[in-house]
Amino acid sequence: MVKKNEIMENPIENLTFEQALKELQDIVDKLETGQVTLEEAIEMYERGIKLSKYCIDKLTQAELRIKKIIKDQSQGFNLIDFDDFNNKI
Amino acid sequence: MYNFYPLIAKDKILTVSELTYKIKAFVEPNFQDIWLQGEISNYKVHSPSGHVYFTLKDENASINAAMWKRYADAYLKDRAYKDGDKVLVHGKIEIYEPRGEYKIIVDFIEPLGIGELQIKFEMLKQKLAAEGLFDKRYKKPIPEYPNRIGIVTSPTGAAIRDIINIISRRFPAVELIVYPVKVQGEGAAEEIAQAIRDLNSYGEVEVIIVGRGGGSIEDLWAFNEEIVARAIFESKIPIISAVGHEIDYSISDFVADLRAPTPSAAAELVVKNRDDVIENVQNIWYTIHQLVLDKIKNAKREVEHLVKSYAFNRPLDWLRQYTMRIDELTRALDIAMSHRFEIIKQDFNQWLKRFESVNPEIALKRGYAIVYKNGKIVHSKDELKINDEFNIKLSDGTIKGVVKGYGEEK
Repeated sequence: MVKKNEIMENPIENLTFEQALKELQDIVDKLETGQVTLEEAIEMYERGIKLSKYCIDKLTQAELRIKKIIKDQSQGFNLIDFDDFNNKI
Repeated sequence: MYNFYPLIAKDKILTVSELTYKIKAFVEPNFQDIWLQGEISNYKVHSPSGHVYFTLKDENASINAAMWKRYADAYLKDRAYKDGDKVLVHGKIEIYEPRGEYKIIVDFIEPLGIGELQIKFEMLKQKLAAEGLFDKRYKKPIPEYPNRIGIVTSPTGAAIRDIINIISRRFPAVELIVYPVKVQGEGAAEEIAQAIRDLNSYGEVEVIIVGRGGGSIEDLWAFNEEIVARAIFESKIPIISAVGHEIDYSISDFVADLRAPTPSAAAELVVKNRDDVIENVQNIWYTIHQLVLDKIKNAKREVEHLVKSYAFNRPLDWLRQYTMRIDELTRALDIAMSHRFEIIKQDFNQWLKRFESVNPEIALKRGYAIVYKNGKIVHSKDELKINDEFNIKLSDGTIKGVVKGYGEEK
């Protein structure tokens, strides 16, 4: 039962899209090798639902954000909206 | 004045045509392969023939020049010339008999100094290759799903416009960080190199596209400067080089982790197509769903089997072991069948259906179809009578059908 928790611990909101997708693929791999108990499989199923939903939400909800990076005098960086040709497209 | 005429043998007297022909026959064979440099004046494109006429001159002399349309098409496509430009041309001298004029018929033209740029290019390329800057082992992998993409280019050029258009269509779930720079002229190479270093110290982008749209070799020259090549090589963040058209190769293409033939191609390389990724996630999900359902089914079968076959004809310790196994499986099955599990499953399925209904294309891609009658979606067989015509929408187009009959209900 130590094993089952190692992939389940991380809260989904903290994952990047790539990590979430990777975890989904890992679940498939583990289920396919058959080396999981039924209880673990059920937990993976629930985790899989959450991960799929999270991935698809991430893919569909975000709009393209465009920023311009400007270096300030103290060599720090500022992001401002990129609107150089918003009125040209 | 004396009249010499009687003293001259008749056969020594030439007609104008004869003289001109002699000059032509004498001159032309000796001026077939001429490289000539000079300054353009009187530059004219003749319409509708498309031939180009101009004069080449220096301080003391001038010569008329003509370039026929097929050469003009080849050499003037990406570059316009004007009076005052210094050029190198190749061609042959032709004497035009009706007007007693000679001109150079040009079959090659380039700005003076281009040849030197090409030599510079080759020399730098060899030097950096010898140092190993182009070696495969230094190429960093491009991340598959970057969140933030740095772009070093002109904020008003065609390149940034193309990149934004393509990424917003293909995979809008990213953030673009544009670092505006000059991409040609004095100081451009320094700005580009500094931008790459700055994005590295900023550190919040996972990949950088460096590039610009098409132009002449001088326009693209900043990307052939050593300072840019070094900045690309030293970057800890993977770099995609996207300079000019497909046929243009720059030093930054060789040293970058990935060369894109154009800025548009860079946009296609840096992000995947969102619909494909969604489909991939869904396929993974269906696989998980199927695997777990199979597992539950197998567990049920195993419990039934255990109860039937072993429990009543084995010694007591065996019996205890099997009872434990049955308990364990039953407990897991309880969870699998539990209310909580059903709710989360149903909830997700509903959400997925809703999601697919707003993105019907995704379902179509998986092989589903939509039936229309008179432009409206058909939801029930009752809406279609025998011999009614209907359309079936598939992922790649529409086909027409006629109702022949109703299937057996199962």
